[in-house]
Amino acid sequence: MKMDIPAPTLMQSLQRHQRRNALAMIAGVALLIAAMALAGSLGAQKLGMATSLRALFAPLLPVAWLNDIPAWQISLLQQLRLPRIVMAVVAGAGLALAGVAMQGITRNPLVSPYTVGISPAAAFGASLAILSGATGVAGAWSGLYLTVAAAFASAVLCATLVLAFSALRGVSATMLVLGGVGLTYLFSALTASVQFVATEQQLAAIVQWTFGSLNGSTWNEVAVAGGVLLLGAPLLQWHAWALNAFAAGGDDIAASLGFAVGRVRTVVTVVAVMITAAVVSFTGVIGFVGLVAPHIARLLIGGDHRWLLPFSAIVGALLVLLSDMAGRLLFAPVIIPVGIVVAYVGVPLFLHLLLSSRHKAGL
Amino acid sequence: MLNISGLHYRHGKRLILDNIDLQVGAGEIVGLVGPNGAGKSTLLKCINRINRVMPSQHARMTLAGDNLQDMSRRNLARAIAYVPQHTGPAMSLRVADMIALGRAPHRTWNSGERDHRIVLDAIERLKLQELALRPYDELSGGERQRVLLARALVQQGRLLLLDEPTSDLDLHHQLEAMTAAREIADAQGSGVLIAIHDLALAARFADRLVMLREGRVVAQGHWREVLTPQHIEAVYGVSARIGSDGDIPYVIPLRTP
Amino acid sequence: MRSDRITPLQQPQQQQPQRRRLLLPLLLSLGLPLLARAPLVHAEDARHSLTFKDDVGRELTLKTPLKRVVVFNRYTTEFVRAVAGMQPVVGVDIDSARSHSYWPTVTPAMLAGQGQSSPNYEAIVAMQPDAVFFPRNSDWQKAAAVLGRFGIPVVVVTAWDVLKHEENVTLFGRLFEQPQRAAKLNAFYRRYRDLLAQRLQNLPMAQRKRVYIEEVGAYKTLLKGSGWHDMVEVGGGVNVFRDVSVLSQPSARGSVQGFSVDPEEVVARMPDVIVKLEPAQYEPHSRAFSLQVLEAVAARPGFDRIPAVRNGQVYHISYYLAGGCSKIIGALQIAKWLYPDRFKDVDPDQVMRTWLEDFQQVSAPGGYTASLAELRK
Repeated sequence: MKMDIPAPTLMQSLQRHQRRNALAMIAGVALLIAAMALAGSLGAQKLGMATSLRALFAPLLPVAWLNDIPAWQISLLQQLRLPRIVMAVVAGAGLALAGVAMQGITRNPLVSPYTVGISPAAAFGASLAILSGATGVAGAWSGLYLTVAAAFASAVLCATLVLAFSALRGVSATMLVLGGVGLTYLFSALTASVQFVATEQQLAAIVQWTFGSLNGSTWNEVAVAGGVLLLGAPLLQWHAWALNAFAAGGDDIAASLGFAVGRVRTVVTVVAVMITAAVVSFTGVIGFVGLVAPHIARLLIGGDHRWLLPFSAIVGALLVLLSDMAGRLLFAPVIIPVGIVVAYVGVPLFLHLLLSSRHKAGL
Repeated sequence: MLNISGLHYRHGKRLILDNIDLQVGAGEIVGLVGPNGAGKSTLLKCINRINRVMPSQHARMTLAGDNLQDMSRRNLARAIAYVPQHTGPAMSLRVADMIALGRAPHRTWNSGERDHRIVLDAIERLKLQELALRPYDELSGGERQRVLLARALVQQGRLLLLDEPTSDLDLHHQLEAMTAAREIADAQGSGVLIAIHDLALAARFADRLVMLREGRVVAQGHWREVLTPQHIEAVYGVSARIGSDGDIPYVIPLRTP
Repeated sequence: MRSDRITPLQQPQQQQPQRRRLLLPLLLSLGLPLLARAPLVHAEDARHSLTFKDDVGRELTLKTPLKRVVVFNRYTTEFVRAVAGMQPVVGVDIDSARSHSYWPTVTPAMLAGQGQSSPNYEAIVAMQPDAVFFPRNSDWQKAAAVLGRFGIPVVVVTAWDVLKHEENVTLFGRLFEQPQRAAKLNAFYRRYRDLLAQRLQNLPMAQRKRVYIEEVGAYKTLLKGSGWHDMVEVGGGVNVFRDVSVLSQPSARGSVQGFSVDPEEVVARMPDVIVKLEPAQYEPHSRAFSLQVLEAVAARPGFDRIPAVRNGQVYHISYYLAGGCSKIIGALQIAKWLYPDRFKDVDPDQVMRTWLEDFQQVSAPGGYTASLAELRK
């Protein structure tokens, strides 16, 4: 293979681009870890960095180092703050990944887990559970998990409906989007109906659920949501090239390049839905992240899904984590639900990026 | 290379392609001409199975002896490269990545380096060095066409299907695109089947022409045999004068009778 | 160029730190609850133990008297103050933190979260309470699960449920070891409740005044199942919409249902008295505001035909007065408006003053009600 004089510069510029992407990823991960450490040290209880780090690694350290930290502070960090931080990361990463995947296979930048009906469906499931009154029953765990299970089941049902409709008419991008939009409205109306007949305390609970909150996240919840994410993320990454083909050319091109269009679309949709449902069932509706984190990532790192997928996850995680921190700290000890803050934090950022990189906003 | 006989294609109740017989040899460029709606695009999509053709005992589609209907998706993609007519608004992908998509059917877990070399080679061959890192949607029509050709090139198929590659291009880029197709045919020994409007361009670059009308093959062969005033009047409803300026053919439409 | 190798390499790196982070705390979470309980055992001596059932039927055992409590829901805090004073209260919700004149001893540091639906667990844990009180219309299950890991018990007490008034007050008496004050409060409540029952005993339904009660939203009334409806009926009135029933859960008792009614229906039912609830806090509304509200009601299309408007018997009452001491004071006020002769010797303002000064230990500013007839003069 003859490499003439022009080629090395091309090769070099390609290499430089790769290196730049890799650096961006590393920077993103580093930023995320730093943010997590910061979130760990800040809160209603101000613990210094050193104290929080010591408390975090308590079992590994000699007892003497921990004498001055009361056990309840260690417990606070381990049981309250840390699971909340990890849940923020899991939720942000999961929703962003689901958003990228769905945008890719539908070739539609307006698609997000919300607009495909998943989040409204989960809200409906939760509101039904709350309406049934069973959640108020003392039997400790049944009530808590009933809401979660109902939300999850409802989200999965919605996704099944969307996929079933599209299977009847061909699993095309348009079908997914239109079917999803229709179901969004349907579930929103259903939730509104539930709110209409609910009693005041039920209504308050339902509305609260729709805010999206990380308050009181436990390690169990983190394990479930995190588990689904850990299973789904590599699956999506495996289909990165397929997503490139879908996004760049559409069904015909993807097929001509050897991708099994219907199967890939179904698999990606199912994975995206499962991740979203797993997150949203626990946290409530956190909107905006699934829509905007992919676009922020795209503006920074381009449309190649091999990079876009992990980078969106990082952007999403950072967005939710920082929003949760802001919500916790700005009006402490009043906690503003993260679902509300995310938009305030994300929109200015998004607009800024959009305006400053107008020339390369190849959306 | 490509051998089609007795192909029928129905869409719903309508018969779109009727008893098509067509061959494309290795290293040969065949121009597929005909009016709008004649079925040119449809035929191309039948060959690469974007359109599902019902298997029947009379119809056969083979590529270098292998039955196209029996091939797996991946093998089909390795064998046939397709450049469509309309690429809708794509979500931003860099040119280099667009081209790299063409390696998808060949990619294995350790083929990274080889794929990369092939992509670089194609970029060189189609003179896309300057554009390699630019987003695809910032490119002009002619540049985009070159990128899509480069993608088809890296696919290294035995057959290249081009659907109206010159419709949106200016004179300069039209010549460029057809020359590139010629080079690909020569360099890789692939057969090339081009659906094309421009009769003169088709005649100039193709080795053979196939003229379609309403889903049927009206004429096949050298351009002098196919592009006759009678054929053109019968198929297009236009009287025309055909000639050549040295080696370069021209077709001048006169008037509608 | 390992362009597509870089990504597969990075994925495992991303996964592993996440997994490691989960592993340690998961192991820790098994052992830590044992540690967490330790510092909460007070080196205290004469403490008794009380076993009881809370509002949702959970059986709890707590050490009494409670010395440090976090209280969510204003009604609950009022009861605690009435029975035990503010001394044991170390944490409150935003409602109690906002009104400084009503809760003079509450400092910003005592804020434990927005409210019963979104408590700040970190703040609560830091306050190291003996117990945390939630009403049943809250996220108490989640709170119990989270706080349980720190050995902090959650007690569900629904102070706004008027049916449980005496039970709740007695429970507080036992929890804070203040049986006399609890008894005093119950006696106060019972006295007026019995007074109302007695004086209205021989008043047949047909002679009772018909009342249209409206909450802050226009044309939003309250139905059977709502505590405000009960207040009207306990006060001797007949809710003009008492026949309407919306499918509601058993747990709906005491909740406010803003039920939208057709304005024509209101006119058609010809109420004798209109009572308009307006939200307020400890500080009463200005006269000007009250007049504005009442005139607006009277000016509504078709309302001039209603007896209540013609007689000026349109009353404005703040939620604050109406809800005081399980709505008994509100009921009393309504009774006074409806049947001034039967309740000539009863002064609801005085009762309110007693509630505020004796039980809530704040001064009584007065002026929680207004009537159209009075303001027009």
